[in-house]
Amino acid sequence: MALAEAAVAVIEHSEPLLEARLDPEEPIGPQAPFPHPTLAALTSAAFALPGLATPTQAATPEPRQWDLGYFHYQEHGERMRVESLKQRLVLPLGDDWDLTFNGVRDTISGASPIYDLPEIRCQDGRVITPPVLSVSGASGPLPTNAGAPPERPPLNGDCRIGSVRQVLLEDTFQDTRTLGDLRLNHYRGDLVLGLGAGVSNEKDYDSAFISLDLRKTFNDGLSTLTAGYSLASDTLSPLNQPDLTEDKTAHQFLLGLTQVLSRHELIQLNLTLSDDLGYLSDPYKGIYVLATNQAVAERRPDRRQQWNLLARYVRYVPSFRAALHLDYRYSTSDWGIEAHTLEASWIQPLGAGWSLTPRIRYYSQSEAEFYRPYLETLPDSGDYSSDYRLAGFGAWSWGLKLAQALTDEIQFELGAEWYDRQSRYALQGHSDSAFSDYGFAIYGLSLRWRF
Amino acid sequence: MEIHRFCFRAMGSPCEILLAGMDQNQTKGIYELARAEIERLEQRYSRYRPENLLSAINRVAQAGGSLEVDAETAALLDYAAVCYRESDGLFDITTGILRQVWRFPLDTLPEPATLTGLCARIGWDKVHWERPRLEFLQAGMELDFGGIVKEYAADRAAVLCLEAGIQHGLVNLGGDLRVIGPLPSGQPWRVGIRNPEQPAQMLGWIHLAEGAIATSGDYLRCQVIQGRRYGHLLNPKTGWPVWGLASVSVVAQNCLVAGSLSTIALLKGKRGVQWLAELSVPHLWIDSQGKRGGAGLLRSLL
Repeated sequence: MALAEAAVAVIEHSEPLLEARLDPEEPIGPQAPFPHPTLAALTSAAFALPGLATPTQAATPEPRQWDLGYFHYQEHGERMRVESLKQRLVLPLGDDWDLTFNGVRDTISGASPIYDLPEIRCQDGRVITPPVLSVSGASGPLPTNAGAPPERPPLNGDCRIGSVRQVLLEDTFQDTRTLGDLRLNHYRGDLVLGLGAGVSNEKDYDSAFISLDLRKTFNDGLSTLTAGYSLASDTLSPLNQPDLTEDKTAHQFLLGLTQVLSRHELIQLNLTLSDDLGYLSDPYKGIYVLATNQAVAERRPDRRQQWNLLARYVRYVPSFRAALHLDYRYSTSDWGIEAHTLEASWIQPLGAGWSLTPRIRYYSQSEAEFYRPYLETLPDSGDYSSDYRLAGFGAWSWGLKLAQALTDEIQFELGAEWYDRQSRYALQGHSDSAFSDYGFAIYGLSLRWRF
Repeated sequence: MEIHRFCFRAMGSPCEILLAGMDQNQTKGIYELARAEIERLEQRYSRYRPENLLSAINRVAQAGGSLEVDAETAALLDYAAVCYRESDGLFDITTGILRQVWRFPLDTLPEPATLTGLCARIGWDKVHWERPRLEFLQAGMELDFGGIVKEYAADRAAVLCLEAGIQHGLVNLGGDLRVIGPLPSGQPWRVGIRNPEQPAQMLGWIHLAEGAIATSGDYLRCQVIQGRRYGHLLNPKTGWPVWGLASVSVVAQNCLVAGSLSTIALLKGKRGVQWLAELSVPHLWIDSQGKRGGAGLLRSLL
């Protein structure tokens, strides 16, 4: 569960790993190799010659290679830290098959916000902080108040909510997530059939998933149609509630089209529908109720349907021998969150095996219908959550990647990304959640070996 | 199922087309179609045929001025322009006039002043190309599609066979080889790579079920003068033959790209080694000292 939060923060999609499993363009590990711009330029120029586009461009198994990566994710302040080790092994099996094995091991530590605490300011200068009962970490339940609620002034003209601050679940737990999955691709002329299955395990969260996808190339190799389905079945057993075991099922459907527009351009459109059912709350998150001066467990709907649209434009820029990637993502869910992402990256070969890729991204989301920083009184029914990921906010991130082909077979990559989330960056109207603004940095080092 | 082998000479080289999976009559008809296409391209773009399309272009190049070209020539010029750009001006289809002085066998080395004079009339940047009009900004120039047309012809012949329904076969025009499809059993073709140091021998074999392989090298046309080896590939900027690499083979999706990549690598000399590594294409290089390197499926020949 803890890692799910980190991963969400990084990719800002509720189920980033699931999406990665379905999207053949976005493997979980280091990025798939983009053909060297010179090779891409010559190949596309050759195909522009009359009668050179072959009737079918058969896809073939991937070359044998091994990727190994280390990533360090660090939220600003003494918040969450994730050390991640990933590997990906691709083995061609004959002419028509290849097998990919992914393995990930994450170590998660640090504090994460669990609820927001309103502070009351009165005209006479008093500042009253509602009591926070001891939060002893992941091994105990959310604190509830046994006795009568402590005294606090009524919220009228004289006293009102002045500010809100976050209560963090302190660095008392360390979790490890282990993920392994296998993917088998079958190549049949212009058709590629992919089958995948895997499991992921944490102290408090187990997941098993399968996926199926189909890619077909047509129109002289200029168009590729992708269809996919994946199913994940998760079990939660939160450490703070020893008697609780809950299930969650996630379905995801993908339909994609990649179209070569000209010698130097292509576009990609992906439409994804995810349908999550079951226990979708975060068992570690609470919401503060002013009337009773206590935090109660949050409550989310037991189903969420979300649509994602990705539109990507890739252009080779001959004068720089570089490639430009422009992405726009739109997502909307029946929880009321609507999000836009704009991202641009520039892949610049520098000669002598070096290449540099700067990247910039802007993200903005509206808040969920049931997002409240805190509650005045506890409603009898309905959903409520003060999770900062369900608030309205915007975020800027910047990244830089430096790659070097050491030899014909070995390539090194160094990357860094910085992220800044601010309530005021959002495009959409929303309640202020500046108290949960934060930032993080990711540093990565990876190695690719073709053998 | 039989494999039908057709041998012929075209573009100054021994050629062969191997076709399988159809009966003899059909196969023969398809071969003739492919052969006619190769002949058509040679007729249009060979610099040894009088009164062809290329000589008409070169009359304008000689006098200076401009002309309009047809769609196929335009596409070849577009391709040549990409090669020029991606090779930093080393792959230049206006280099041909240097052959006036680098005529093998050489008796003596050319005078530097002669080369400087010729280089002044070389350069794709002295040509203004905007579809469909080709303008030579300077008189005394010459175009040469060697290094493009043979490879293009191999690809065209292969695509014609595919379109005619052949699924198994290959086209080999003097070592520029394009696979049409694997053997009827699904097995790849075994393709021999000649040893540049001892052309009668093979370096070894690779298996190719699709795609193309092309080799550029100076081993067939070079000469040693005063202990230095002079090849037929010339640097358009200096007028001198390039050295460093003796032979480069590249595997790519089609023969045209394989041929251009191997030629550009050779033109880059020793720097070509790093450049090939960056491209991540299967390749094999042999330098003038006999040292070898490579990647991908050609590594087995090291």
